[in-house]
Amino acid sequence: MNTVRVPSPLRDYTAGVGKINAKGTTVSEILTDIERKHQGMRFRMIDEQDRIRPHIRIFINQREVQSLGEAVAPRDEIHLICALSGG
Amino acid sequence: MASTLWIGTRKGAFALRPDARRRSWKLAGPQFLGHIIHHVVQDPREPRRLAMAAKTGHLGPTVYISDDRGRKWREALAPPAFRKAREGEKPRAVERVFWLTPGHASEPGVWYAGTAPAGLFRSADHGDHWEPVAGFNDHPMCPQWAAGLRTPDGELLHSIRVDPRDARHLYLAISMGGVFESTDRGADWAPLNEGVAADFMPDPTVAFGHDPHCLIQHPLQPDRLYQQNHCGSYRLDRPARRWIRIGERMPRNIGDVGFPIVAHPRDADTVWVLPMDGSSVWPRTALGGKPAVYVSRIGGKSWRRQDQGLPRTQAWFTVLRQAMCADSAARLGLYFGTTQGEVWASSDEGGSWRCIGRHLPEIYSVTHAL
Amino acid sequence: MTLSAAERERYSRHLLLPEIGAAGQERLKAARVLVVGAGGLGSPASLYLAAAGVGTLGIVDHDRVDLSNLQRQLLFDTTSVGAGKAVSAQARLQALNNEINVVAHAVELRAANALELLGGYDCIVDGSDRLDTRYLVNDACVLLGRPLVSAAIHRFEGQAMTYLPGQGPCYRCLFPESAAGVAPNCAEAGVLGVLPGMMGALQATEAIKLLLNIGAPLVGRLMTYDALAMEWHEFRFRRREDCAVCGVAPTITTLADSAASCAADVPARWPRVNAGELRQLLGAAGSGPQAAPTIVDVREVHEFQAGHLDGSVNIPLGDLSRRVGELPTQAPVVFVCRSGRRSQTACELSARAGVQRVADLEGGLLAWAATVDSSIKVA
Repeated sequence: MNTVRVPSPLRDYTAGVGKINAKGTTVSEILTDIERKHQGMRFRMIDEQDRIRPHIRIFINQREVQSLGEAVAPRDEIHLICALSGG
Repeated sequence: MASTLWIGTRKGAFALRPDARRRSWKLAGPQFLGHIIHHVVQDPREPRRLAMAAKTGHLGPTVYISDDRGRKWREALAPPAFRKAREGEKPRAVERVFWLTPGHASEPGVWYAGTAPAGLFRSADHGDHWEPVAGFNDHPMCPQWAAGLRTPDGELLHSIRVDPRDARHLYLAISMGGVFESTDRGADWAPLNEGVAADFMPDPTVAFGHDPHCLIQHPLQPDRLYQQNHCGSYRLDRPARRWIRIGERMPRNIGDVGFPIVAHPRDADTVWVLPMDGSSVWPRTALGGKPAVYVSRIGGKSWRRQDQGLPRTQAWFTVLRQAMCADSAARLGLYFGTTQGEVWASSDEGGSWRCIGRHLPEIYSVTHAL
Repeated sequence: MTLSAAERERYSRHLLLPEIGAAGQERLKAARVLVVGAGGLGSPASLYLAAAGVGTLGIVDHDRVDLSNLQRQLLFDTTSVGAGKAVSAQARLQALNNEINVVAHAVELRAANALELLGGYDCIVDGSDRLDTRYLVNDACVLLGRPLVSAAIHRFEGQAMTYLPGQGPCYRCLFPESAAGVAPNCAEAGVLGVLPGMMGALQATEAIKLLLNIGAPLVGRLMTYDALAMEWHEFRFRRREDCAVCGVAPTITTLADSAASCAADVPARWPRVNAGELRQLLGAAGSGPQAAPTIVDVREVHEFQAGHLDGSVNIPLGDLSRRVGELPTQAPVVFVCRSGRRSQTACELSARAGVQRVADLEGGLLAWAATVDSSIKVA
């Protein structure tokens, strides 16, 4: 099971929770598990061609995810980052 | 009769509701503050149901639906999305949901949606789940019809019209691409642009590639179509295929470009347009800063100016394609919203106008709901 | 720029730091920093930059002070409500430090004025509250070659990153909108008043480090702050080869405002000459009635000094608006830069200012070196 950090703009899909659990051995599997628990959330981050939306970044620990096939180790923390625009 | 004007704006959705005599209007909202709301549409088959086309700030395109007249909204479970691109195919992803049309009376729960980039989508469960209409999106000609010619908001598929006599008979329009027709529920499509100018094309007599801004079909006389195009306003009486440029009867110094076109719901020969400045650089603001509606009572053969109550001078707003509508009252009400966030109303078929809402964000759509 | 006795006393705690000292403090005094947005972020950032002795501090904001701003915008107080932000901020900052020069720009930052405004400064601090402005500021910094310290806030969360020209990714590499002027607006939401205090102070820290050339800048690193969890995180990100503005084949070469709504607008294009054509133009000069074009090199001074075309004049892009009067209005002008990106912007700027016959060198001096003259040194 991996910890996933959810940015505030996406917390409408997690009942306000900023830290959720998901399991999977790749980013793609993690996202599928997130979608199973929080319906509609995946499409807000990933478009229908499996591309990460322009204002969303996904990091495994500190490393930026380039492709959804990237491996996730059991203790890796997944960070979902959404562009903020307030000043 | 309860009545609501839904206002879709660049920063959220608002509702204007009148007193019994439509004298004073109360503004409610915003809902979805910060999201771009392109269209809010009531389902005439089940008036408590509404759908809203949106592009969220950071999180992509979606549809919201309500089954309590817009008090509460929930997001579609599967919003419009193109199918996965096949090997060697250009991948398409919905950037914004731009247009919504309820389906035929005989098909409760069916809705159509138009998107940017141009895509046609269908829902059979009141908007909860959306499927691509393969007959259009995967039509062998689609890459030519919708060639990715972007307007500033993207390549838009809009003006989806369902023939009230026949659920299989559909029209739609693409900016830029032209008007297209299907007679088999969307399985196959053909261009319908004869007679329409396309001044900006190398060959102005092309079969498609036109820039319709708004296409309407008269509900009582479904063979009567009107089109406001980037290159003029037109009428078409089916089964004819050649559009007649009714804008040629407009005063020459006014011209016939604009975005919306609205017909009287009980009289197919009465039609309103809102001309915009389409001269050389296309400022597309009210002509000379003097906004005016033009009405024709005889199907576009002659036009009369209607500007009483509108600003006399130095008013430089634009009215976008979804931002003008009529209600269905016995004393017909007409409405339009401006890019500067004002809503104007007439309760005498355009004879006089007054401002019933102001200080809203840039208005994208004004629609009437009962 | 030597320090007065009063300045030596005012900045004495800086002078005690070996990383700053008198030389560093003089650098700060000579520096020009622009803060975009006098809001939650711009308040602490500009207060600290003013206190630190940044010699010229510009503030861009066209808004007015609202009562609801005071919960987090420490530049203003209750008596400022209703006043213009830029001018009000100028008074506050000038009161804090009368040794520096505070410039109020009470204008809306737009595509048309961004290059001119930002070009007059050494370092840009972005504290704007709109996403389209963020992309505009980023693109202008890339086009001008200016460092940018960017931060943003939302509810209890903050983000910050630094862009250094040629040394790391830009904001568009992080959040890759593909075109100019298409960014959506942000969702308006609440924000913890003290949150921008953290992020704005971080921005001031970064700007001061950049000006002094000390420490490790936040380049290629996204710093996030979660006030509720009280956690900082750092993420690494890379420059995108396909970045629309700083990538290898940029599609954004001029600035554009958020789109107006209509159809069929054809983007303006400026004539381009390739290296071979330019050589012919230059070679024909003097031998016929055809006047040689004026060649204007819009790269930075140090790039120009490393190597340039014979007979070309150097007007860095950031100075072009101010110096456009030096260009002929009727005779042909060809702009050149390193890769042909800044020169497109130069075409746009100068054409708007009335220079009638503009063109630029396609592919820039890199193309010239590759196809005409490999002896030219392109910095």
